[in-house]
Amino acid sequence: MLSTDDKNLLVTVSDLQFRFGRKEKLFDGLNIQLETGSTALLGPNGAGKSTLINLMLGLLKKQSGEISFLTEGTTLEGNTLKRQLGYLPQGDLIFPGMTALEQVRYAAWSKGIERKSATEVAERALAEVGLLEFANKRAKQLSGGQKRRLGLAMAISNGPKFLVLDEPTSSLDPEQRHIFNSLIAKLAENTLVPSSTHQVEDVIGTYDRVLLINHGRIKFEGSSSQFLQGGNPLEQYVARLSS
Amino acid sequence: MKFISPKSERYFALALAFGVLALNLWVTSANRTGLEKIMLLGSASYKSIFVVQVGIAIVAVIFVYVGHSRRPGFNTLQKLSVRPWWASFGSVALIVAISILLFLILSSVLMFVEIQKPIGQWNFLPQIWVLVFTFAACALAAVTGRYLPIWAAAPLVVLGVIFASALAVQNAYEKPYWGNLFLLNMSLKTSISNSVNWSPVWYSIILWAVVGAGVVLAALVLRVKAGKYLAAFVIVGAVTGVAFSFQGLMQPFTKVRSSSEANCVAAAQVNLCLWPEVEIAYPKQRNELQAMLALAHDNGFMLPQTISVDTAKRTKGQVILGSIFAQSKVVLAKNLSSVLIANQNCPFPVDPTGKIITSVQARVALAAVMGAPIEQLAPTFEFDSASGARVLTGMESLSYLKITDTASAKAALTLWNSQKEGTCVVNG
Repeated sequence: MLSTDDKNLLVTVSDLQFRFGRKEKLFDGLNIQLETGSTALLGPNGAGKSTLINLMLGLLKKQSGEISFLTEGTTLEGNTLKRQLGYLPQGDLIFPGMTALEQVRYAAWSKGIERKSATEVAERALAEVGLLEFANKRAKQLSGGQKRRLGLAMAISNGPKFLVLDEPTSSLDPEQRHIFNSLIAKLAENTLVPSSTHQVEDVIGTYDRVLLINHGRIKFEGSSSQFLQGGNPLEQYVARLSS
Repeated sequence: MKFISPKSERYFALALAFGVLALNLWVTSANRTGLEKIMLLGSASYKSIFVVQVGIAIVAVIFVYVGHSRRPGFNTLQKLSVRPWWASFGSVALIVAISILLFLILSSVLMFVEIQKPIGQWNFLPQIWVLVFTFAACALAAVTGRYLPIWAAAPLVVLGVIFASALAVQNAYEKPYWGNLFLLNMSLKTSISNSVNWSPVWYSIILWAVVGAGVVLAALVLRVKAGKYLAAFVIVGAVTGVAFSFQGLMQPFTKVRSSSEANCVAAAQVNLCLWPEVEIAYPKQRNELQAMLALAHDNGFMLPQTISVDTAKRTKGQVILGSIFAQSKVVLAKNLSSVLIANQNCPFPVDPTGKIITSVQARVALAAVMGAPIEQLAPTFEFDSASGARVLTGMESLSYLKITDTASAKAALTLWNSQKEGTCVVNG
């Protein structure tokens, strides 16, 4: 079991190797370290952002390497880790016929919250994402932005220390994106939030750090302010991708 | 608590349940023409229907599980869940799957039992109402997404399986207790008894006490915290078991009756007595009986003075035929032949080959001569052979008894009569 001296939340990826089938290796010895706060996993489509997230969550099986989640200096594993994980997948995780409250309650229960307290926990999560007034509405009746927030409520229902977001704002209009990014920034105050995105403008004011990935390789790693230095963010993004 | 509620699975469960219910009610209805058609079309016995229903149950549950687990996002949720796989599946899908399984098990068991009964028996027997109740409980569970109705239906399934197993044992070994307890003595509206038989009640109470205690003990050992569910299971099971046993006592014709109430008509050789309600329900049975007795007489059997139906006491010279035996020509012939042979009160003859169970052979032969279809008379019996114990059934057993047609049946009877030893006197 690994341990660190500091008390911060930490995700370490060491010498990660992964390829799909017989294709060329996507990750060939990837090493990254994520800390408390929000980190944008930035990159174009096909860069490997979602694959990295799936590997971190154990939804894909790595060929070799280590991925560790640490809190209080201790590596979390198995159900202990799952209890501290929140995940918002790329697509909407909507069960037809269920109300928003029922969905969040199910998510909370699946993370180990007892049935008796699941309703209270679910209501709190819905309130946090501003959906409490829609608690008894069926999920399919919600707008696109509301569905994403519902997904976020499901992800945070168990009060996770690690909140993994996969393209959280890709399908949202500017207003909903602003609302969502504000939520991410707020949640990241006490949580480690890796979030994949291909929208450069989301980095501004939302994420603490940026990890630019292309073809499975790290093109930039640093703070948001470092990433934004030197002028137009989009130009910086394109220039770093091709570097 | 209500979780995932995929509508398609609910509709699937309901459609399947309605289909199975309709099939069972149709097959077990009074006129067996439908069943006979099924059996003929399928060129298989009732066992195949039983197997098919169990197969449907397994396929349906797999269908629900696979269908559910392939839902977008469900796998992801399940992989990241701290709950075990079966608990993550703990949703309406699981309720639907359990409902299907319970309902099909019970319907299979009841059909298995029901279709073994002779043609012409009453439809909508109490066990059919059990089937309907179970269907309703399972449908309710599937629609509402609640487990409680399933726990209420579960004891009926347990009872059904227990009593059907008992019936199978009874059929195999002719031990008339457990099977009759639930499925024959107490559920046949035409059963007539000369005394109140309390044993079903006691057996039922003992049985359910054992089952209920076992389930509660298992729950304690497994630390299952489901008080209201367990209570529903035990209470419904106890009420059902006891109600079924009391039902037998409450039937009006289970009262002690005097044989003087029976309608007796002097026939050629005997005095035939039937209860009035039997005459109403089966007006042709007296003619059937007369014809059979005449055939028995023609074949050298000495007849008793009186044949009556379940009268007060079995007296010398009096043959007692329960009303259950008055409903089917096959059952009537089988039982009448048994009664006549047993009533002759003489030592059984010894077969020269030493391998044939002569009383069985004689009973089958006499029943065949009385007009019952030979293929429906096949007994099941076990005997020791050089290669170990053998069990013969169906045409195999008939071939072994050398009774394959009416001519061979007559030949067997002639042999039997010629080999009788000792005093064969009809008493009275």
